[in-house]
Amino acid sequence: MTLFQQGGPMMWPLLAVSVASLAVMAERFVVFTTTSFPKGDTLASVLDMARQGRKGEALSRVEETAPFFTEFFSALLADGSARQCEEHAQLAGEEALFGLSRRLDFLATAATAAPLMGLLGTVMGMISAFSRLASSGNVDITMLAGGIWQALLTTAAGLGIAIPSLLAHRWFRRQHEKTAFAMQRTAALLLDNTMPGPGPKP
Amino acid sequence: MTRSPVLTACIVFSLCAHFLLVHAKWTSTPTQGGEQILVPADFDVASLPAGDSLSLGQAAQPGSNSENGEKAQANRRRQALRQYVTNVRKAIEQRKFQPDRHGLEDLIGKASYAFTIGPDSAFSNIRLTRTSGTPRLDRTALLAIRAASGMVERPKIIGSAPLHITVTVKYQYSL
Repeated sequence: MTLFQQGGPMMWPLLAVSVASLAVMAERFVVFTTTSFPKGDTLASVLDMARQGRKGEALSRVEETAPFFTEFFSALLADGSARQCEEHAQLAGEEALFGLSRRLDFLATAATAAPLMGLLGTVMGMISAFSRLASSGNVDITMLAGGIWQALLTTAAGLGIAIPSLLAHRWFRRQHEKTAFAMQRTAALLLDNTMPGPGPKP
Repeated sequence: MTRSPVLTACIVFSLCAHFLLVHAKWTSTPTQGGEQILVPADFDVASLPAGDSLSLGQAAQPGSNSENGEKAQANRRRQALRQYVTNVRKAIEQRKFQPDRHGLEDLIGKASYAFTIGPDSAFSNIRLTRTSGTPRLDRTALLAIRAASGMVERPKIIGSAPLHITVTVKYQYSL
């Protein structure tokens, strides 16, 4: 009998949460590692091209290096007033950030709910162990210990799901914040350097 | 690869990982070093009769051994183990005053010792776990344990793994 079978019926919902959490963690990891905001030399070259009026080249460079943020740069480098560009860039940026933060709420929920589900499984297991003990009339310490350690399996499983989910959620949130900051900073630089006349700063 | 195939691939990966995890044999295996048996060896308590279960002194249910072969075997082993521990306890009790009773009648107190019983029934690694506060009593109890070493033969059913046992030797008015 495996540990999963010994854990009792509460292991099934925990398994479902665990499968979903791992899938979301893996998917978000792929997304965050493949859609990084342009930085360093790439961003400097894009800014230079935009400053020199070579907006088409700048956009091509963005498409090559960070296609996920093409719409954001297109909005910033579009023809029009600074205010219009800013508004469009804000919309495109929010859309990109929303795409990055997709399913992160699920991870936060799993990190909170999994230990509680595990605890519920433990309480159910303890109730079962003690009721069996009470009905048997034979106080066998090994029977009690067996019931308790099996009941504790669900708590361990819940914590096993919650800890990686929490760590992953924090890391993804941090990456999301860093991307938002980089976008804001880039927008300010581009609008200040490429737009004629004084424009409102974001 | 667009977002949807990535998510599908991640779900498949997660399912495979969990399938392996769930079907892994994570059952606890008995340690090669033997079992930890804690014997609350208050020698005032009468030893339990042979055939008693490990049910904290309550009588075994008749016919409980016939539930299934494995369970019955485990139950027999536990009974043999308990009986063996009781006999070891008796052997120490009988040799409590070493080298003789003379001059040891005034000892009062309890000393706890832990030791390991090897396959040859000999005691080893004898160490004091709780002193009585009286060095003479501790020493006398140690001599009693040494004297009882190898006196009780281990039943074959309990195997040859070393047994780690804690006993408390009690002295009270030369009893």
